[in-house]
Amino acid sequence: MKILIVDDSRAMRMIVRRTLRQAGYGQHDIEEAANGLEGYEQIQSQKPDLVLCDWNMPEMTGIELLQKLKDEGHGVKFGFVTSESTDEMRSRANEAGALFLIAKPFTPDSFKGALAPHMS
Amino acid sequence: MGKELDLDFRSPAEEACAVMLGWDPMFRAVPPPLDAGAPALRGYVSICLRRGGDTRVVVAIDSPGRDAVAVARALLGAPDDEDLPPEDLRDAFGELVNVIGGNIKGMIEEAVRLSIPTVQLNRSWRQLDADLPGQLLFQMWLAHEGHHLRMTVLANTGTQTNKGQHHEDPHRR
Repeated sequence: MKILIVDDSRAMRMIVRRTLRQAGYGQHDIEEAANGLEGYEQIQSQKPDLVLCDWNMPEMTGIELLQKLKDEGHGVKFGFVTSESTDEMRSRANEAGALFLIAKPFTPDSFKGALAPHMS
Repeated sequence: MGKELDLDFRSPAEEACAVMLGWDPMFRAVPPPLDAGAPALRGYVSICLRRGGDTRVVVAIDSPGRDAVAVARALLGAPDDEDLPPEDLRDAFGELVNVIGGNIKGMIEEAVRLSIPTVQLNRSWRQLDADLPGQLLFQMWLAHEGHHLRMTVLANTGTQTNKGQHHEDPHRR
């Protein structure tokens, strides 16, 4: 599988990459994008199977990215990895088609729990 | 805006330090001795509240320079002898305060928006943001193996002081 990590923090992209490895997903092809706009361009050009996306980013937020993909009928699997996880955000994410929302700080186990159903 | 901000600000910081840094943080009510010569790394996020205007809660963290490097190394999984460029220090510190702030935002009923983190090396709080709220809601030190991290929660006038420990106006530093 090809996994795209979208986060404006290089530190967090490194942590997500490391956590994917610790959760047993290190064998997958992992790419990175630094904001929603860059993520959108990479989704178009590289066609990842799964997007792990931050919510709060400059240029284009995570929910704006997901909404844009939904409006264009793009079916890429999409989940949020975010420091905010209110009921309202979970509801918005769910309505926009997100498969899961992982709250930071996260552990390899929380990654396994969220990703396992979607990794086939 | 008083009672609703009488919150457990300590738990999000302790959880973030435990999960992201691998720290088993020891709460410090008394500030540790600081190396006055070491540059400090300071970062904060703002939580805007529903009532509009400039009503906000600010979650800030800071450390003396050598401790900030230890925080960044722990967060990035870098070895103890690796030199980290300033942008990595800022990025790591920003992500830590972003996670703590995000979790605190989830505790505040009136919260509507979390800002992008602002982090700078060797700048006073006033140089970072001249309009930081003046009321101290909470402050504590976390310590792990000789390294220290301070968390401060500020708000606009009108909020009540929380049960924080060791109140010190960060603007004076």
